[in-house]
Amino acid sequence: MQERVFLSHKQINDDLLKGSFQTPLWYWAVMGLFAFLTLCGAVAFGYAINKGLGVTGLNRPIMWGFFLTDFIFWIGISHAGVMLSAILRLAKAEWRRPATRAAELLTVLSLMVAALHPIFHLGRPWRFYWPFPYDFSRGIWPDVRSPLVWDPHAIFTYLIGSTLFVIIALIPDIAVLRDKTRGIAKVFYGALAMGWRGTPRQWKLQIVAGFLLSALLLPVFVSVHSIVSWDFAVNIGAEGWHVTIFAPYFVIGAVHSGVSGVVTMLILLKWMFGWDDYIRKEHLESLAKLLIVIGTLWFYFFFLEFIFALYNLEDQEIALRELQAFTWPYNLIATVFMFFGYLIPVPLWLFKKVRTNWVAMFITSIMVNIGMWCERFLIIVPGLARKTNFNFSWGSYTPSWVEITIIVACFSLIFLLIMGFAKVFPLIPLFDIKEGQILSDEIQIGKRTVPALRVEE
Amino acid sequence: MLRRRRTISSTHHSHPPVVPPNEFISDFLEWHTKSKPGLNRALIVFSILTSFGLIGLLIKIFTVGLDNRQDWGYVATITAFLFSTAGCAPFIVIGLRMIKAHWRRPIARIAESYSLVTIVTFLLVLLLLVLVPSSQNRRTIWFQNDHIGTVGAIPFTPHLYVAIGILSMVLSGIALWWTSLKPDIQLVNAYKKSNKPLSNRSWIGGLKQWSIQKAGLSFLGAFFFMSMIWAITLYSVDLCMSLVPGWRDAIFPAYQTLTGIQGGLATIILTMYFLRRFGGFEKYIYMEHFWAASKPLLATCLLWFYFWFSAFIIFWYGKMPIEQDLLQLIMFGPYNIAFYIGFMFCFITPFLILIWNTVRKTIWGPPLASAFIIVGCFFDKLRLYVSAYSVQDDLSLHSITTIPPTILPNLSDILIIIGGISLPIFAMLLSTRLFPIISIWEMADGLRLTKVTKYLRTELRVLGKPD
Amino acid sequence: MVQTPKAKKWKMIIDIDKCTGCQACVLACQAENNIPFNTDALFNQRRASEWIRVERYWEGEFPNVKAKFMPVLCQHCNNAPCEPVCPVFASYHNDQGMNVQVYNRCIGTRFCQNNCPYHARFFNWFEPYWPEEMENQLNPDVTVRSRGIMEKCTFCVQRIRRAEIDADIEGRANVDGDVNPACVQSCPSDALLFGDSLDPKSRVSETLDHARSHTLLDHLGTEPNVIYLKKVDEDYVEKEAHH
Repeated sequence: MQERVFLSHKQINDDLLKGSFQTPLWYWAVMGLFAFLTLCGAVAFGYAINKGLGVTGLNRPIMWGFFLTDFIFWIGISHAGVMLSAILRLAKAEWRRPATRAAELLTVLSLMVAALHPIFHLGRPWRFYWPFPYDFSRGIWPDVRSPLVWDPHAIFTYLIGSTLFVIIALIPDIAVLRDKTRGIAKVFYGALAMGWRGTPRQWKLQIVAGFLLSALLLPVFVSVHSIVSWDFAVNIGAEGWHVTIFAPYFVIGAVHSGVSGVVTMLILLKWMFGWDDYIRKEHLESLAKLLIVIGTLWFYFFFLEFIFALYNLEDQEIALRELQAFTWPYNLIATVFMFFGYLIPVPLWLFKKVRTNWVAMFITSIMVNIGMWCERFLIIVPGLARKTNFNFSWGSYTPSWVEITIIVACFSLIFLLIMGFAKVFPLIPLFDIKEGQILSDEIQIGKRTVPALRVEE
Repeated sequence: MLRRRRTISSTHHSHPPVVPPNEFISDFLEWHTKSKPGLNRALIVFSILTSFGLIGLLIKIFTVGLDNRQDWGYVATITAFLFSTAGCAPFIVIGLRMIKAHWRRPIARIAESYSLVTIVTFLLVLLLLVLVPSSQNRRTIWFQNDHIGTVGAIPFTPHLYVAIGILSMVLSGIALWWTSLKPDIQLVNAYKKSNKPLSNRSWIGGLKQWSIQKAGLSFLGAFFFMSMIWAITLYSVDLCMSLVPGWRDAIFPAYQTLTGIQGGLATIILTMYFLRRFGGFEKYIYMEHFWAASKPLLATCLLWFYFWFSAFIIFWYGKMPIEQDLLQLIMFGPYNIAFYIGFMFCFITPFLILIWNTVRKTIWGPPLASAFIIVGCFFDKLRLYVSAYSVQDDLSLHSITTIPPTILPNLSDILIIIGGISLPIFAMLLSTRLFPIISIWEMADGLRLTKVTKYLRTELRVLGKPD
Repeated sequence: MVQTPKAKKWKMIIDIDKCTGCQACVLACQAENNIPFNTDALFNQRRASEWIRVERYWEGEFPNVKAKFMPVLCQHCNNAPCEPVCPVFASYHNDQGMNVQVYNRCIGTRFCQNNCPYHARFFNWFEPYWPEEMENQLNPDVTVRSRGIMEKCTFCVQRIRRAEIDADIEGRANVDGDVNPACVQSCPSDALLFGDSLDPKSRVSETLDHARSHTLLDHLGTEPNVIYLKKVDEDYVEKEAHH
């Protein structure tokens, strides 16, 4: 039941700009920790460049391991932004309002971190720019038949689009900050606000730009993760990869893990900043219901992938599934994946008590992401471990400290950047909340007063 | 270049004035109970056309019999076509109810009534199941795998489970239709002053009955959704893919589900157009409905291409001989013309129509795109089902050995196609004659929740959102 | 005097019936192509670099155990799955039917090895290392690959080029037997045969449609240029055909 919350513009400004104007002590401690972890990752990466990729746990046949798993995981998280922001904006759903900026920010940052991963896993990372067509003088071009050329182009298109999306949505809020600060901060915000005055024409341009970008980003978001999935699916060598379902399976898995990531982030924001008036139970409930639908759709695609794996009655495919389901340590990872990714969270979310409980939603959303990380691992590594029927050359994989350090560093880099962003810009869009306040209304039907929405043409 | 406008929001006059609910109810009941000679004439015409289908089916059974799959490709096509267009139409209104979109209200009954068509398609599926061999010793999703020792683990596959799956879709669709209809039947009886005595099961309209009805609609809706996806998975795999050795396409059931959603939406949009035009419902079905429906329609067109391309690129890039032969069979070989027509009409043409916002905001734009989609859907099913049924190789082989030549429809096939296409039209006309074709309680609800208020210098509609 | 080169298509025929599993081919390849030493530890880590490897499969129960040996190397597929997936064109098909790896173009994505169904490609995990005395045995005709680069069997392309240049200098065409890769040269039981399949007089052309010939994993449609001759097994029992 939506309760109408009355918030004045001044209260909105004060509450949501708290992060920029006050800094508690724990903030610096946490930032220091994340910075340290990121530095460890940088050191590990430097070591890997210096010595060679032999410092990882990779071998032949398993030439793609933790780095690629993490790569797909972060691209997956990046789908949260477009799902919530673009689709809900186009569908004019009211409950998107507090979540849009956090989701878009998560998208941009996770894309940046994801784009680092191909550099980590390259044999010669200092040549990472060779898949781009830049060599006009020597005429040495990349091979456009390769999914690894489509990948960086798609990711950078998505990154540029999402960054523009965040910037356009930020401008009115930066203007508020410009008007509230003095000195060097005012100069900084003033430059970024690009002369925003809040005139009707500027608002109309900003809204139209947001709609257009939402519509244009939707095909990009579907195609980015599909292209990443085709890194695997066009492969006839590795087992279990050459299936047609990979593209939508990856995309829907990405949306599942991304929206869960946004739920985690929103709950953390509410706890850290005390934004109880802005992130309310109805938002949590709507997100949980969306997750039930997405999770079940994902489960359908997983089910299709599984039954069609066994469809062809091939020895090596059966060997692969036996490895995934019954052999240590893959059986543990598979169990975690199934239970954490779907079988525990989604049935729990069917109960309203769970949907409206902050701690339960926090735990279940983190569970989903743990499960989905395991799923990506299970797609990549067992398929390579059981490549074709040359079982003399089959192998196994154990990650090394270099890979684990770099992956932990990526997580801490994201947290570091989000917290840094929260200090400089508000993580809930002020103008969106104010717009929600203006559009909400009440009507009388008989003896009841029903909350209502003012609908523009 | 944006011209400066004098007001913030422009009144597009995209909707007629809000009608008070009681006025709507009395207007509509009057329309429903009056005699409509045009409707009766159309009913006669389409009942004759539908009976052609039955005649064609009987001719086929008594001339060629149920021995050869090759003769029944077009029947499979029309069955799949009916599932994908009329059969999936209820799902649209279920989805819209789930997201609480107001524009579902005038079209809810149309969508639910199409579930009556699935009774006929279920009978056709039973007929086709006779042609499908048991799933032992061939590729199947029923875990009949001799490597992992599950041959014979599940008996009567696939026939029993396909029948049950599709029956569950049919029954849940009909239950949904009936649950939604119950309040309106009582209202019509009261209007006609019929002398039927009230019984314990009559609809009185108290709070308890409405709560049960609402809960029933959401439960049946969720159940229909799941059983629809399961039914489509079953008939696309067991009645199509598994009949071609070497065809392993994990996305195919999802692709068929999506074409179903696209076809269902297109069917509803077309019906909406004709209902507005021939029923004179300009006050209740207007530009906003077509505009709102055009956005998911555009999305499904893009998704159609996406799902088709996901399958195509895997097969085409891998260059495996088995998959190259399959591409020849279902896309670029004997049925390539059907494939190109399907591709043009399911994706390119509706995409080019619907990307323009000015076209989406018209009454004729989305129905035009929908008409193309329905034609394209038929040809898409043709290239899939007729080609699959034309394969004569032993199903335990790894791949097809020859690509059979094109099978053109004979007289009984053409009669069946005519009957199949006119069946949903006939069903819809019959529903209009017998039952209120606009869901009275849902429309009245929406009208009760809509008010017009002044805001600053303009007027805005205010939509109540009680939950 | 450079003559117009005659078109060639190099093929290799491996007779599994003659292979004894002695691994002389593996050692010869290592010496010829500057491959770092493989140790037990490296092999167990699955990082041994063996451009040609001898796969060994056990069959039967004790005391009727049989070992089956199969030398596997890069199959130089005509429809190579490793070629379209390299983002930088480091893996391409030359006009003599060989799949060629360009070391200085490779950035080490390792996609080519993932797509190779024959596990025929190798990655340099570290900088290659030989003890100082052993650096004298390095072949000057072959690049020493640094870390981060993919490599694989080249049909000893340096020997092919050397033979072509020599033949040019002497003003004649190449004849069959002019050029043999290190593995073919060193096989004691003559299990490996190499030659130009477009030359109708070469031994390879004559053996191509042998009754026992087949290619590995032909359902994948890779059309390899390495043909295997099946082992003759007197105790062979017709097994039930698997799907």
